[in-house]
Formats: sequence, structure tokens, C-alpha cells
Amino acid sequence: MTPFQITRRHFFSRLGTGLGAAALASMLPRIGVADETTGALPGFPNFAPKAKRVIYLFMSGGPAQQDLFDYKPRLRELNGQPLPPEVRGQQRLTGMSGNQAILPLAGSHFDFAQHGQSGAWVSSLMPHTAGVADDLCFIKSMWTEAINHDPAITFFQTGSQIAGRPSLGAWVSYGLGSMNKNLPEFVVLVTKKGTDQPLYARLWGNGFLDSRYQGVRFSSGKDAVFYLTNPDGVCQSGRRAMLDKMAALNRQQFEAELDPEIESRIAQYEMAYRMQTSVPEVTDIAGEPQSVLDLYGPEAATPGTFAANCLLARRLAEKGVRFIQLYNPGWDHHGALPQNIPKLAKEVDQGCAALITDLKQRGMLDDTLVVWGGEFGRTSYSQGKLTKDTYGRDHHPRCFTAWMAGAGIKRGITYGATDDYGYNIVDAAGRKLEPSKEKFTPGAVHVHDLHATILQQLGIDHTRLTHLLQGRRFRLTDVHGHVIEELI
Amino acid sequence: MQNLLSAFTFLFAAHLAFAAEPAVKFNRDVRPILSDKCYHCHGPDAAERKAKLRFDIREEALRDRDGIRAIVPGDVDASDAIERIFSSDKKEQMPPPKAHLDLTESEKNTLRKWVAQGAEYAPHWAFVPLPDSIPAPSVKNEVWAKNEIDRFILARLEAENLAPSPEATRERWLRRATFDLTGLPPTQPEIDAFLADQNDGAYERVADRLLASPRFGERMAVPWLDVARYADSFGYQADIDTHAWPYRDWVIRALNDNLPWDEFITWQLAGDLLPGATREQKLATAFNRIHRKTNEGGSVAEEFRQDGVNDRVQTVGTAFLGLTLECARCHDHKFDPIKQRDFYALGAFFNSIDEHGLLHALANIQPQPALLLPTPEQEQKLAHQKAAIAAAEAELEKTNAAREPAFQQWLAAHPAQPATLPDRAASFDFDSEKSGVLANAAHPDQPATLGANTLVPGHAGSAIRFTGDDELKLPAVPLAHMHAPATFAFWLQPGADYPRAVVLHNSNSPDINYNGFDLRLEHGHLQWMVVREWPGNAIAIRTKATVPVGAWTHVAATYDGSARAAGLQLWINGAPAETEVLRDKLTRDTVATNDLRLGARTRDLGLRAGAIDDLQIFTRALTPLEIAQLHDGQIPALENSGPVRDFYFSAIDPETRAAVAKIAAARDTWRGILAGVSELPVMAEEPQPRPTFILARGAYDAPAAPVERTTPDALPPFPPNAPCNRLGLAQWLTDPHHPLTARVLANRLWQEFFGRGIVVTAENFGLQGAQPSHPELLDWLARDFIAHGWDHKRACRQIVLSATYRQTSTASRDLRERDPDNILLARGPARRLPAEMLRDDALALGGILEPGLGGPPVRPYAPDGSMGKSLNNFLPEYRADTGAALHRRSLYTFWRRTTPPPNMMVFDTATRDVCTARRQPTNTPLQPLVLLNDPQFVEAARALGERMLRDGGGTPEQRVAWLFREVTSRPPTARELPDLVALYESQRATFTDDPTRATAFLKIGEHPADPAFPPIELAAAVTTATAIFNLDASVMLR
Repeated sequence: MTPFQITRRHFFSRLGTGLGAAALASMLPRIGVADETTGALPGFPNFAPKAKRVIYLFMSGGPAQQDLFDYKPRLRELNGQPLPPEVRGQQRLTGMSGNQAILPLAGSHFDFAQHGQSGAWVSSLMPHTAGVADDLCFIKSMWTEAINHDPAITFFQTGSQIAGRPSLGAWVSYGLGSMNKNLPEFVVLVTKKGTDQPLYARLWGNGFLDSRYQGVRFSSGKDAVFYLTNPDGVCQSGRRAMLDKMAALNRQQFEAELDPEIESRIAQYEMAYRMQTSVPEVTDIAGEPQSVLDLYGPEAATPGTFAANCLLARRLAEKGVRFIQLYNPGWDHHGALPQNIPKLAKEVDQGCAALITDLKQRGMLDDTLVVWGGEFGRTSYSQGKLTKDTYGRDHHPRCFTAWMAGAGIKRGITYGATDDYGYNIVDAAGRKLEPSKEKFTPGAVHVHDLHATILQQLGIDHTRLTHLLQGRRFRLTDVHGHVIEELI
Repeated sequence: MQNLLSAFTFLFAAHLAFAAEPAVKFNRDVRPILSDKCYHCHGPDAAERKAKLRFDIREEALRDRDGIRAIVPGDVDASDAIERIFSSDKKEQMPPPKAHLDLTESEKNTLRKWVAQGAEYAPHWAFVPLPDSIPAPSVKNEVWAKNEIDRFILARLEAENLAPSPEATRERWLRRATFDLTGLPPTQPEIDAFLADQNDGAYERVADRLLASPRFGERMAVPWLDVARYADSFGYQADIDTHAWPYRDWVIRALNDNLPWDEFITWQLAGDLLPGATREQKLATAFNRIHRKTNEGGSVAEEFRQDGVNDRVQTVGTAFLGLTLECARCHDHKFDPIKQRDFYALGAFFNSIDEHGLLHALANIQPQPALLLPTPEQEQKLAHQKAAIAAAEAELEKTNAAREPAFQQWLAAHPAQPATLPDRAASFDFDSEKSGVLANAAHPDQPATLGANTLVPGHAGSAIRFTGDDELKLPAVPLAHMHAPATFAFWLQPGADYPRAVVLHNSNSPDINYNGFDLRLEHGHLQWMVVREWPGNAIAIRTKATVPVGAWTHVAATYDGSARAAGLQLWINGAPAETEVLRDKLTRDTVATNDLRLGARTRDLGLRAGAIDDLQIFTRALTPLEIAQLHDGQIPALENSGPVRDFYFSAIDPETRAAVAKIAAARDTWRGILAGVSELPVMAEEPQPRPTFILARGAYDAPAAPVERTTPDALPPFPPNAPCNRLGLAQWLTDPHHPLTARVLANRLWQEFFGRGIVVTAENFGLQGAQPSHPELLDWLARDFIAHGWDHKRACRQIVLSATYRQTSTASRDLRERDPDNILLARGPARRLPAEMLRDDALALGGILEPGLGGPPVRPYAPDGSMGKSLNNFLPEYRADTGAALHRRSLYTFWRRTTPPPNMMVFDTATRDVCTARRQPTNTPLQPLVLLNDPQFVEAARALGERMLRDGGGTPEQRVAWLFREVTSRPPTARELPDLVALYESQRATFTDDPTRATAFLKIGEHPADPAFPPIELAAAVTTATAIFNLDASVMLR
């Protein structure tokens, strides 16, 4: 009997003990052992997927939809007028602007124009994105329940405002397993900058799932993966010799103990060794032609920039990484928005558009789902003083814009709408909608609905991706979520 | 006929088969199915219940409902439930297909059998009171058992036709016990001594030695700190430091001192309520205060206060009851007999402290209530200084009496009070404005800027009218600290009936929490306060009368610097206003700004459309005579009266004023000493319980029916004689017959030694939790624990000395396949060392583990960009410590909730965000990268390599054998030795190829390499040490 056979028997013997499929899958050494398994949950994907992978461009801080994609000419006309109480309704405001003596409406300082065949409205801040508008599907009617950053971003990343649940990427890894043997299945790329709002490791954490489903953050420093590089003075041949002798010793231990855990450990050391080659390979853009670098713009060659991360995301996607999560923080424009948002837009615009173009040129947009958006929107009224030159915008969970592209998502459409104030979601006839988590409201897209739709494209019925913990079947979408059929 | 007969025969046979089969056991076989697949819609939660049918109560399941009975005992065919679970009609089928809760064939058959056998119910095992005694079962093999534990294990093995495994080698047991009891490896001399001790009691002597080691408390603290969700930062956005480490040190002390666990629980839940509570007992209650807390701008304080209370309930539920109480936060529990009411009724025990929901933005202001933790030296100084203040106050009394003649003399010489009162700090009449600058008559060099506010006709001349969003900033008004006396007097014209409006303040971070001096209007009532942290550490008063909107009222607020509410006074139209005391506890400095601001506050409600005129500020609490003068402008004649005498002593008499200055100086000194004293948030009960409500959908702003403090109906009643507070709750929990507490604790203790609990879901003993693998053993352990005074060390000793624990973990293929998870314990435990032990092991093997016990958290090596500012701009750059702090035990590593150390997280540490009763062990490729490449481990391996060269003998064989034994606690086998030598030689060869690499390699880490060793020799020794440390024989505790 080879060691692997006992491993298999070991697994299958557990079937008889009544352990669930998830528990079984969790025991299969995920990476680097057997070709016959990718470690997907049995029955997953539930149906033929449109998307093989996801690249999620998370705009942390909450971009102002009124200044980027949600064109509101009426706000300019009403500039300085107080927000009518009937528009605000019972809306909860944050303590940052809720006590203001006046809530003056603030028209965008940026001009909008229609672009492409689809005629999508995009502001002058996003010229490159405007250029690929026909490939995008804009959702103008995103909404969330959280109004502060920490709960809101936690909600977007994990489907719950309460810390400790698995992230979207971890759920996908848990359900679908790995497509490659040399790289993690869930990679996180954070733009290197002085972040104004924090990003926590738990946002890409595994929550109550196995820790091997957690996102692996690639940093732009010396080691793309923490502890990846051998210590100074240790060469790969010396390391190889060490690993070979260790494997020999571990195999002797296995023969004595017969514990399949030992086999699994040997495999993990081999995987780690391969990552020492595969990670630097995938992060080294030296081989990229100038035309590609030009596509992503002048910052593409500077590691850690958003543009460089977009390029890296494409490279990771090519290598079979299933879930690639980018974070670009800095959108939290409570004050001096007209002065600050152009910098942010410039930071991301070309990279986003280049990613779409690049994927398309390679035929990968057909099976790569790209998602763009933040944790909430921003208010149509000014937080703080509205002057001729400037305004600020507070957090606004009631409506904001996201876009999706690729992998079966309809191209060049806009879904959902907001009122003339950019304050509430309305239906096609302009009637105000009162979306509720408890009851699906067509026209409005809740966080859970977005998650359900993303999973749908990956071939997952979001109601079936569950994990039993403390007797409860946890789901990314809790007991909510509807696939937005109009998008796909 | 033939067919009918066959059918009959079949049915008959089927019934026979059922009858012949062993009886279905409800708890073991049936309830898990009902709970998992049925209770969601037919269980305890009334709101979710479908068809008014519930299966958790027998009478309900059997009830006739319009001629249909879900369950008819003994009659499968008449039982609608059985028909529907076997139905293939999607509309009829139960559970409905869309629920994705399909029953397996075996589950369906179990339910059918159960109904056929009479559908008997039994109470859930975990809610059955703990029996008074649990007899150990009889066993065939009478020689194997060393104590009662073993009889329970063996009886089950014999029933399963399994035999226990042979005893582990002495080395293996010693390694196991040493890690399990101290978290560290045995040394070679310890191994040698144990091997040499062939006398009776050798194992017992080792166990006693390990239990007496201070390392025991450190090791056992780690799982408890997971439960207590202990961390060094508050989590959430800015993730401010907690400074809670004195609580962590208390845990270590309590474990080392073997504080009985009933007291360990009681102190943590209710130490402050114990009669004559000691500092240690109060300190222990930090257990309920170290949950996460935010200071994110714009957060709603009440929402987060309630979150904190919820966290306390959840933690108590997981830690002591093994129940998922948090599931009942928004609705009745779906599976367990816990009502939503129960959740809030338990919360009522934990919500009556004078706390604010949000954390102060200033890191040096601890959430209140808090316990001051002076060092003995500070304590002595504070006592001394308190006496000095009292003496200075007594001196003032004497001075007053002695100075009566001086008063009479002064009176004779002064017919009238001065027009300008003494100690004036600022004076604005708002009558003149030049280019937006407002003149200050008291200090012409300190004018104010009008800004966006406007001048309007006022009480006399013009007044300043506020927008509500723009503050008037007055620089350099001396309100620097909690003892600064002051008077503010002005005419006030409110612009509206404000729910709240700031009049004047010098506070910080108002949208999160208050501190400093604060005068405000709330629906017309004036409120005057000096605050360190609202509401728990403040003095505050409020007028009973209101100030009219739109009219001019003269207002004065005085404060005498005494830090007592009695030292605050409000005055309306020249007369003292009747007030109520809102808070009277100010124990530390306010830490406010030096600027006084009027009319508005960042992110707060301001004095919108309100106006102020003739503002006068003094650095003294003015006397009634003076306030009256400021009100009516009349300079009073001076006569021999009480008010005039008060005025004289307050404002004029030099000796009295010198005595007052002495008190102030004594207070300054006291404040200075106190500034260096650390403080820890603890529980401190308010005299009146806070009114508590069920919160609809769990929403903080949706209070529904009121609830009183009580424990869930499904659990034993609250002891009738116990106080209805946290102390009573602790009595209830530690009652010797409580069904859960001791079982939950015994189970977690078992988990620490065997890697899995008798109930594998250590966090859930409810209906959806796992069944105990050895229910009688669990009961016996729990009863034994209580019967022996909740003696933790004794319970540990009993386990490590049991034959069960002493078995070898080596197992045959057959046994592994029969019982892959080692549930039956036919072999000894084996598990990967947890994160803390791996790192501590490396440091100990290198001989560089810093032995100190307790103290502030430390920051070891971390990769660039992995922690601190690189992810969270609110945090400082992560800077590793230097020196000994790099080599402390891992439980002292600074635990930053938002960016925990990556080299620990990779090995499955709990995030410490919420209570965690069990870690999930995993195996990932990131783990080898840490153990091979992390400077912490490289440096430790170098120290170990040096030890090998120093102590390991002369030949390569001797050296690697020494090293292997040092790391794995056993000598290498004859087959392993050549591989080890080959490893060593291969490493020497790689460094010989390029000696510069050896030099570079030896520079890693702060601990210097011993220059006595040739670099190539040492480098080869180090990588060999690393390799051996990474072997299964090292990282797995077998």
C-alpha cells in the first residue's frame, strides 16, 4: 500500500462515520497532492459556471456615485438648497453630519457625458472607464444597511456586519476548490498608500471555515507572500537538499506512525517550495510587452500601485487563481471632495479599463467576472460647509453605483435608478422604492443580491453553499439574496 | 390475493425486523435528525413555526390537528410526518426540497423505527441535572485502568471489541505531559532524570513538578484567553490599545495559584459584588469589558453599548453554558429552548454599569467604569497626597476664622465692591467688531474672531448670534484640568427648543464621547459638567427650570475646582438655580483642550439661531454677591453680611487666597501622581438596574416588552436566596447541580489534553451540538471536578496520569481506519502543536526564551507591511521591540485585533474578536514558510545550533543525535541517524560552496551569533536544527 492509498482509504473510511461531505473535503490535502481532486465540495459547481474566476476591484471608503457614474443634473440646479425632508424620510444619518444645522444639496463639480453605443453616463473623472462602457453593466441601485465603514466593509466582504464570518473569496474557495497547484486560490492585492480607512486581515479571512481558505495577501514588498523568501544566505539548492532529507525522515516517521497527516505535511512543504518559484514568477512583470504596460498606464511598472495590481490580477487569473480581490482605499471624501476625488479616480481609472481591455483581448473576459464598487455611497448633500469651491459628502447606504463585466454579465446596460436627488432608489417610472432585506424588491440590489449573482455566475446556487457550525447552516447570503436575473 | 398476502408478509416481516432491532435512542439517534432537519420550521421558534406544528415537544407532535396526526406512536402508517418524509411528491415532501435539508435513507428509517417503537422522547442530555454520583462501569480487563477515567474509556472499547494501545514510551509521555502542562518541551536532563527514576510514583512526581511550574499558568491561560476574547487592542476601525494586560496576568496568577474554578468564574463575573471585594477580585471583572469597542466617527453610542452587552451574553453562553445564546438575539432560538426574552433577561445582568457605548478617541482615556491600578509606590504617594489635600482644606477653615478681624478692617475701608471683579480672564461685550475681530476687555491681546457668526441687537448693545455650525473660539481660557475653578456668566437667548445644544465647552471628539468642561441646553434645561469620560467619570448638574426660547436670560455657571458635583453651580438671572445632580464621580483629569469654544461643536448640535451677550469669564467660582452684580449691573454697598464676607474671603483676603492656592497646589501634585497610574475597565454595578427591553429583531432602537433579570426557563431556576445580580448569576452557574457549567469546563479541559472534547463541539452543548462520545465519563469528570472543590490542577493531574492518556498514539492501519478521529481513544492523543507552543518551543530549544512572568505585551519580529500602519492608517508603524522582549512567550505578544501577527494566524490562532472555545487545526503551505523562513525561527535555530556545537559532542553522529533528541525528546532510530548525518553533511556542503552565504545567514535576528564558531560550521548546524525542528517528530505532539 502506498502512502497515498492509505490516505484515500483514510478519507473514505470517514464517509462511513457519518461525517459530512464538507468535513471530508476539508481533510483532503488541497494543494499539491492529487490531481484527481480540486477539493471542491461534492456537487459543486451546482451547474455549468459562466465565470471561472473573479476579479473584485473593491473601492474602499465609499466612492461618491454622484461624481462618477450617477448623473444628477438636478443637484446642480438645486445646489445649496436644503435637502427636502420628504426626500430624506426616516433615513438615519451618521453623527458626522446628522447634527448639521443645514444639509445643503451639492451638485457635482464634474461634467458628465454619454459614452459608447450604450450611451452610459460617465463623468469626466473616468475617461478610460468611459472608453469601455459598452463592456460594463452599471448597477445604479446598490444598497446596504450599514452606515459606518467597519460594519459596511465587513458586510460587503463577508455578508455580515458582525466580524468573524468567512469572506466572499473564502466561500468561493471552500465551494469550488483550486484550479492550480502552485498558487493560492484566493489572492488579495492592496494598493500601497497611506490608507485613510483601515483594511483588516479579517476582511479576507476564513471566518469559521478552514484557514486554508483565507485570502493570501500578496504585498509589493520584498516578499510578495510573507516569509516566502529563504533567509539570507540560504540558497534553493541547499533548501532542496534539506527538504529531501526532511522528506526521507518524515517518511520514516510515517512508516512508524501511519498517520496520513504526515503525508499531508510533506505535500505542504513541497507546495511551499513550489510557491517560492511560482509566486516570484507571477509577480515579475519583466516579460510583459511595452504595449501591455502602456495599456495599464505609467504606474503599471510601479509595484503596489492600483494599475500594477490590475496587471498582476490578470497574470494571477491566467495562472488559475480563482478569486483575486483588489482593494483601493481612499474614497472617504467627507470634505474637499472636488479637490480629492480626481486623485482617486486617476489612481484607478486606467487600470480598471486596461484590465477589461486586456482580458478581452486574451479572450478571458468571457469567463472572468470583474466587479467594481465600494461599501456604500455618499450623500447628495454636503457634509460641512458648501462653498463655491468645495463640498464634502457623508456616508450614504441607500443608493450607490457598482459595475460588473464579463462572464455572462450583460454588456452595456444600466440596471436600477435613483431619484433626481440621487438619494433614493426608484423604479423605472421614477417611483420611490423602499427596499427591505426581508423582501426582495426588483430594481434594488442589496449586498446579498450582488453576492448571490456573483456566486450564480460561478455556478453556485447561493442557497446551497452552506457550512454547518454550531448547528446552524451558515450562508454567505444568510437567509436572503436573490440572483438579479436581468444582469445575466 | 397473492399480492395482498405478499404485502402482508412484507409488512409483518418489516415489523418483526423493527422489533428485533435494538431500540432507537431518542437523544442519540432521533433528536439530532429532528433538530437539524425539522426544528427550523417545527421547533422552538414560534415566529418561524409552520403549520403550528412542533416536534420538540412530544404532546405537540402527537396532537390531533383536524384529523391529521403528525406522529402516532407505534403506528407508522397513521403518522403523517412519516408518510411525508417518504413521499416522492415534491409538494408533500418533508423537509421541502427548497430547504436543501434532504433526509438520508438511513435518517428516514431511523425516524420510522422510532415512531414504530413508540416515539418516546427523552430530555436533551445536556439539560439533565448533573447526577450526584456516576458509578464507574465494570470492565473485563481489571488491570489496565489507573483511575476511573480509564474504566469509562475501557468499557466503551470493550463494547466495541477494541483493546487499548500499549503504554507510550516514557519519553513520549514526558514530552506530551510537559507540553500539555507547561507549553514547553522537556529538557534532556529532565528526560534523563525521568528515565532513571524507576521508583514507584515517578510519573506522579513529574506531574507534580510540572503543575507547580509557573509555566503552567501561562500555558493554561491561552485557551482561557481565547474564551475571554482577550486582546491588546479594541478592534474596529482605529483599533486603539486596550492596556488590558493586567487582566491577562491575573488569569496566569489565578491558574498558577490554583484558584478553585467556581471562584475563578465568580470573580470574573462578579468580583466587584463580593463583600469587601479586593483589588484582584475587581480586576478579574475586566473579563466582561475586553470585548471589541469602536470610536469610529458617526457611530451610534447606544447601538454599540448594546453590542457590548450582547457580547457579554454570548461570551457567558459559550464559556460556561456551552449554548449559542446569540442565536436568540433577534428571535427565539431555532433549536434550543432559549427564547429571545431569555437573551435580554440575561443581558439585564450585564448592562447596569455606567458606561458609554463608544470608545474615547484619546487612547489614554480608558472606558469607564475602570479600576485604578497604582503600583505600591504610587499607592503610597497618592495616600500621602490625599492627606496633604485634606490638611490644606483644614488649614483653609482655620484661616477663615482667624481672618475675621481682617474682614472687618477691610469693610471699614471699602464702601463698595469694585466695578471689575477680581480674577477676570475674559470679557466680551460683543458691542464692537473691527474686521471680524471681537475685543476682549479683560485681555486686549486675546481677542476673538467672529467668523461665520453674526452680530445682532442684543441684551445691551449687540450680541453674537450663532449659526449652530460655527464655533466662537476663545484662546487661552485656563481650563487646563479637572481642578481649574471657573465662572462663565453671560446673557443667553436660545433660538429654539433644542433637543441638545452646545453653549460652551473645551471638549474633544464630541461625536464619539465627551470630555472636558461642557455647558449645554437640553430642552431648555441647562446642564453643566466636568467630564473625563461621559457618563462614568464626570460631575454634572442640571437645572430643574428651563430657560425660555427667544428671551434673554442671564446665566452663570461656576465651578470651585473640587472635583465634586457640589462644587458645580448654575445661576439664572443672578440667583442660584435649583439643580439635580446627574453624576458625581470624577476621579481623574479631563485631558481636554485649552481652547474654549462657544455655540457649536464639531459634528454636534449647536446653538443654532441662539445668541449670547456680555460674556464674562473668571478663573474663580464667583460668590452670590458677584453673580448678582453681573446680572443686574448694580454695584452693591458693602455691609457686614454673609454674602459680603463670602465675597471678601473668596476675592480679596490674601491669606485665604494663599490657603486656597495651597489646596490647588496639593491637588496639582495629586493629579500629577495619578497621571502615571494605569487603569483597567472593570464592572461596577449601578445602584439601580438599567431598565431592559426585548429588542425587536435585535435592533438597538426597537425596544419592545420590558424584561427583568432572570435565567432561561429551560435551565434550573435561579437560586431563591441569591441576590438578583451578577453575583447571584455566578452562584447559579456554579451550583453543584447545574447541568452545564461543570460539563462544559470538564469538556474543554479534556480538549486541551486530547485535542478534541468528549463533546467535539466544545462551543455548543445545545440540540445541534455533537453528542458526547462518552457521556458518563463527561458526567463523572464534571461531578469529580465539583466534588473536589473545582480543583483545576487536580483535574489536570488525573488526566495526565490516566492509562488512557499514557497510551501510545502509534496505531495500526486498521485502528486508524476504524476510528480516524480517535473518538474512542483506543490510542493516545496526537495533534500539531498550537501556534504559541511552536514559537515557544523554538525559543526554549535555542535557550533564548525570556523567562519573565507577565507584564505589558511585546512586539516580536514581523514582516514589513504585515501589521500596523501598512493596513490601517490609524495605527502607528509596527516596530519590533529589541532585546529580551523579542524572546518572550507568545502569550505576551501584542495582539492587535485588526492586524494580528501573521506567523501566529497561519497556525490557527483565534482572532480574539469574539469568544472562541475551540480552534480549527489546519495544514497549509504557509506554515512551512513561517517555520523555515521567519527570522524568529531562524534566530532561535541559530541559538540551538550553537548549543549543539557546544554540548552535542564531537562527531557529526553525536551532534545530530543530540540535536534530534533535544528537539523531539527521543533518540533517533538506527535508520534515522544516517539520514540525519546526511542532512547535516548536505548543509555543510552548501555553505562550503559559498562561505559568504554562511556569514550573511548568521546575521539574521538581533541575538548575536557566537563568534567562537566558524561560520560554515555554525550555518550548517543552524539549517540542520531548522530541518529537525520542521519534522513531524517535532511539530506533532504524539
